Amino acid sequence: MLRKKTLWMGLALVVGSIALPLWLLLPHRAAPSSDPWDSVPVKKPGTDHTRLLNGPFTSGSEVTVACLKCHPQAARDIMRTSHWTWESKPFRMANRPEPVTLGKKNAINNFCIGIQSNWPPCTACHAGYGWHDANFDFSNPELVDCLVCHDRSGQYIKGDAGIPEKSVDLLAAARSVGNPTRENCGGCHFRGGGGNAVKHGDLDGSLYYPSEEIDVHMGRHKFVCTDCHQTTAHDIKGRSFCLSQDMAEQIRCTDCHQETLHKDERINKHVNSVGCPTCHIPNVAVKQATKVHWDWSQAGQDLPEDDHDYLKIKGRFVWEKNLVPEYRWYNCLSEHYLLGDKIDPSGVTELNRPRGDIRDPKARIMPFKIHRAKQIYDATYHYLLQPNTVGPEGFWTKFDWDRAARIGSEATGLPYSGNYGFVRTDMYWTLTHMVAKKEKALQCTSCHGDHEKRLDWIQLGYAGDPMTHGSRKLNASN
Amino acid sequence: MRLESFLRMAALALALLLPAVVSGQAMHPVFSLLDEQGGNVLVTARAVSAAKTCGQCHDSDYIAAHATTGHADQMNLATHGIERLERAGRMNQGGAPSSAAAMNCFLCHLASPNNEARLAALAGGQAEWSTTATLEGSGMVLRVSDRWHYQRSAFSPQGTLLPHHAQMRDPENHHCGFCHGHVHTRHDEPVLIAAGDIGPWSTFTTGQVIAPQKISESGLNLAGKERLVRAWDVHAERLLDCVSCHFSVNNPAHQQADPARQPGHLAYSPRRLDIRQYLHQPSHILAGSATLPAGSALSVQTPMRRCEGCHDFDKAHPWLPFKARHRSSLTCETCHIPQLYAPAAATIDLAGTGTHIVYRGGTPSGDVIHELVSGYRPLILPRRETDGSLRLAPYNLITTWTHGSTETGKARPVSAEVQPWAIHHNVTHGAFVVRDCQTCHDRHSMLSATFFLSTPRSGGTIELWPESAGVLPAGELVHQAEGFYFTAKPGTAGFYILGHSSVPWVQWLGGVLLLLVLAGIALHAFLRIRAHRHAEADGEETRLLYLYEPYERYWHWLQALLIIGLILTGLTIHAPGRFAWMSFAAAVRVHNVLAALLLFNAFLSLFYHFASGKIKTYLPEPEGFFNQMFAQAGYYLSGIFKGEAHPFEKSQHKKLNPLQKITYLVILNILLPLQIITGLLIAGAQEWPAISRQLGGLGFLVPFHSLLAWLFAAFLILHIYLTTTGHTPLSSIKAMITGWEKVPVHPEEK
Repeated sequence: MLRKKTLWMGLALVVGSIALPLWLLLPHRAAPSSDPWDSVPVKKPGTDHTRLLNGPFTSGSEVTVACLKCHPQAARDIMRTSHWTWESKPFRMANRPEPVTLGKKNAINNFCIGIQSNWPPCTACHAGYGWHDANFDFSNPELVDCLVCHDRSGQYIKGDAGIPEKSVDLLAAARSVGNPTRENCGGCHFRGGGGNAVKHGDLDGSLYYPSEEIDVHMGRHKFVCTDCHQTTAHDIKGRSFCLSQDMAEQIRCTDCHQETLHKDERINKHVNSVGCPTCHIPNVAVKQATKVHWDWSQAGQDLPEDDHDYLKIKGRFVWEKNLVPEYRWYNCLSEHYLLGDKIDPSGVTELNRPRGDIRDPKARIMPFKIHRAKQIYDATYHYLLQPNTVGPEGFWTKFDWDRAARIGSEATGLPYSGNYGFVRTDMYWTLTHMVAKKEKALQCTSCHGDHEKRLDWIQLGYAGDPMTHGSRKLNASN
Repeated sequence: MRLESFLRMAALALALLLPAVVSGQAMHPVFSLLDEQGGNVLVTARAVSAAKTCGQCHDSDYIAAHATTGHADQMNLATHGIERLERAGRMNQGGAPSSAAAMNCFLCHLASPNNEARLAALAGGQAEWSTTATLEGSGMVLRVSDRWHYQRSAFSPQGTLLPHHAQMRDPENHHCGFCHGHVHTRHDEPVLIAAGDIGPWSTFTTGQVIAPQKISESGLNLAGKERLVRAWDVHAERLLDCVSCHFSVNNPAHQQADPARQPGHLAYSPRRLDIRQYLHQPSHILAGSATLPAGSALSVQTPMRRCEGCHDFDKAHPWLPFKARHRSSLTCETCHIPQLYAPAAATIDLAGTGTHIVYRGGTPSGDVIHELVSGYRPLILPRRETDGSLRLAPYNLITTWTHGSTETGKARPVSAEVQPWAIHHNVTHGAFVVRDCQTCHDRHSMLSATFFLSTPRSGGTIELWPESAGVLPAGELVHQAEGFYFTAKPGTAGFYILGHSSVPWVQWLGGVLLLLVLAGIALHAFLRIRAHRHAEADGEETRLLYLYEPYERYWHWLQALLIIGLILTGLTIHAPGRFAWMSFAAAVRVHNVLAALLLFNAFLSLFYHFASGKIKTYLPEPEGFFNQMFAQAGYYLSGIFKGEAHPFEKSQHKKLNPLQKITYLVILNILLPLQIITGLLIAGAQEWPAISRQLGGLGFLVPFHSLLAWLFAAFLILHIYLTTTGHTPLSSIKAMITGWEKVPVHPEEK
């Protein structure tokens, strides 16, 4: 008789003779391509600090000292990041002999123009305490503000020079600490330019509790900022288009999503020339209007005032809701206007023109908010001036441009001729937030054909609509 | 003089500048508007003649002679509303619409022609002014009460139109949309469709809408609209124009040589009109329009670029099994236009007081919308293609009630004609198309849908369209209390759809056969058990006999499992809804693999049996075979109950009794090969459709295959039962597992 083992082997042979060909010949469902959720960090629940901190705290720095007892490295970490330094490492830039350091510390924009001599209100958003003037001590770890990012009590508010407002209960704030929430980031980043929704267009207070109509990640999928802006040793990933000079910190859609995930091959063919945001961010300022135009030259007049139209201290504004972006080639780097750069007063000065063009294989068409302004410049030396607006002698008090330019120039060290005028400036803002749900992404007719005409093909360097004229030809050697 | 030369300079500058301003389209030279006598209308103040005006450069006679006939008819009838419906009624009854005035070039070639003014002029009995009225509102023509005046500001001092007024262009979708259907190109306005607007004809007859907009963005009160994130029409979404497919047939950019008149070795013929010749004599016969109702003047067949002209079927459907079979049986539209969403007419009642129209998709006929509309799924009907083959294609059916022939003084009988309207537009792709096999391959198949025709009408007779229309009325009229319906029956047109079609008598016969076998077994088993109880065969001596080599056992069990698997998957293929342990698609695939294995296994064993000489065990010994068979049968029918010994002793060389031999001969030499051949031919309808068709087609092969499957199932059961007739009920099965069978020791062996 056969042994049991042999019988089992026989059974396996028979079943295998059927199962193997079935497995080989039947079509297999493709293994699921990478799951975007794999890249979303799972955050550990924070430690409850209620019993760990007893106070009393009379200043922010005292809280910091308490934090550092258990987290001795934290301040050192922060002090290496741009949240603290407000400037970059020295970089070589094209057409500039000297290495350049650029940051909020010394940059010039076309909103409130610059922080030098205007420190106290600007530095309310500095992750530190007491940046009143040029003499701030950037080497003192006790001046680091831990609470601005970690407070979860909801009542921590920073005032001038980053000092907490008097009303703040520091002990409650310290005991509440945890992972940064949308409120922590949004407190500064949604309010860039001096108020909610002013600067970015794709970042505003509607993102505190967004619906999926505003942002698919934060609305439909309940993301918080740090799900994408992931952090290593307090260095938060992400880069400022206006200030960054390298790609090191770039966050990309493709960190989580496959580039060619569209089921439609025709759409996948677009990714060589079109960045994801172009189609997936059809509009920004979805719920709250953003500032698109600021005319400083009309400031100082006694006209009827309205936050969204005219203010004596700031001039005339235009705001736009549901802003349709403008589109440019962009290789993820940009030019930067630096203080002292010569301008052509008859033309438009672009403060941070995106680099790349149709011949640049790294460049893709990307959406931008362009903020157009008229701001003060030196009519003799032909460069932009950084006026002093804040303080007893500043423009916002005296409404005297000459005096404001003089004080500002003393701070920047840039000579002022005494002769000023106003010049057109453009500032570009990359749009990467307020990603629409896929159902609302742009359609073919948004850019192609005679319907919506979002893209100006001639301006982008095409002979005409690439649908009929053909896509760009890139030199293979590039 | 100076002023004039300045004006001339300015005009020249404008002419040079405008091409840059008005994109690439502004190439048309300036021209004068001429009247019927060829006089400049600025001088004569008479109506514009398009033929004379455009005939200055283009060959008007050629164009008039080479125009899609229906175009002239349709576009120039001052028909609106009821008139048009009545015409639809006439068209339904096969009458050709009457022809009217000549075509009007401006209606299709001016950027913004005024169609409403044109129709008003026609309706107001001022047909000769209809061309002039088309120019109203463009800055060239002004209407003051009943008269049209030419606006001098639009003309040069020489009497020609200023360049920006003279810009003629290819027809765009909105031009075609004046008559053909609802066209919507604006991105910032939702699509809105008023039920009852019969102006956009294709939208009224079928619900087709030409718009790139996503349906979810439209203004229609559609149920589940937020999920309809598909464009109304994928081709409009992908920026194709009507003329991309319905091009002028001698347009050198599109012209397609008739393959039947081409030498076989040529893939492309570069001989065609040059652009100058084409602009002189552009044919206004537009490609397409082959499937409009026959009998109407519109059924012109022209070489349109069809789906296959642009799309590669095989590359577009990598997932689809039996591609060729699907391709030859279905039009692309059948799966790619699964649903129409705009209100389409179902019933036009011209026989009552006033006109009453019932729409599909839940759109109420009244003014008040009470509920969400749903659109409708087209009816799938067999269509005779130009090559003579039949393919299933989507249609809407419109039932038109009219009074029959009029006899004065008598009540006129009410009758209805049902007319099919083909659906070619509103194609979609991706997740919105029919992809689930069981949409068709199931008892409740999309292909045999019951389609609403009309609410009941007492005494009314209803008639289907004639077969000559090219669309076969494959189905039957159903009268129900709620109204008239049409149930499609593709089987009557020769379509056999696996999983859906069935030949009832085959299943009845097979079922009865199986039941008889089961009943016989039950009776036999009962008698055996009773006999066994009476005569305990006790303590009989046994010995072990080695009967089956390992390969024989392997072959047997493999075959057994394969046949069981084939029967189980076959059941699912036959009735996927009832035997739903796997999907239809999976069942087909598994069935095919198992069948291939069965074939392979059969060949291997045949080789083994020949090579080892064991084939002899299957061959009946001619001498006394029948007697032996009867002896064996007698044993099963009586001896077994009496505890008699088996009439034939098993041995290594005589494993099979005579009955087994004859059964296996039949099964292995007739049943199995037939089953394999019919199976191959069914699968072969894909690769060698001609052979399958010659041997009866699926309509014969599939029922035959399933009849054989019933026989196999019956044999299987009988076979398993008879294995229990050995020394003990399980000894034969054990033998097939271990190779050794326990057999009683005969007295002489002791």
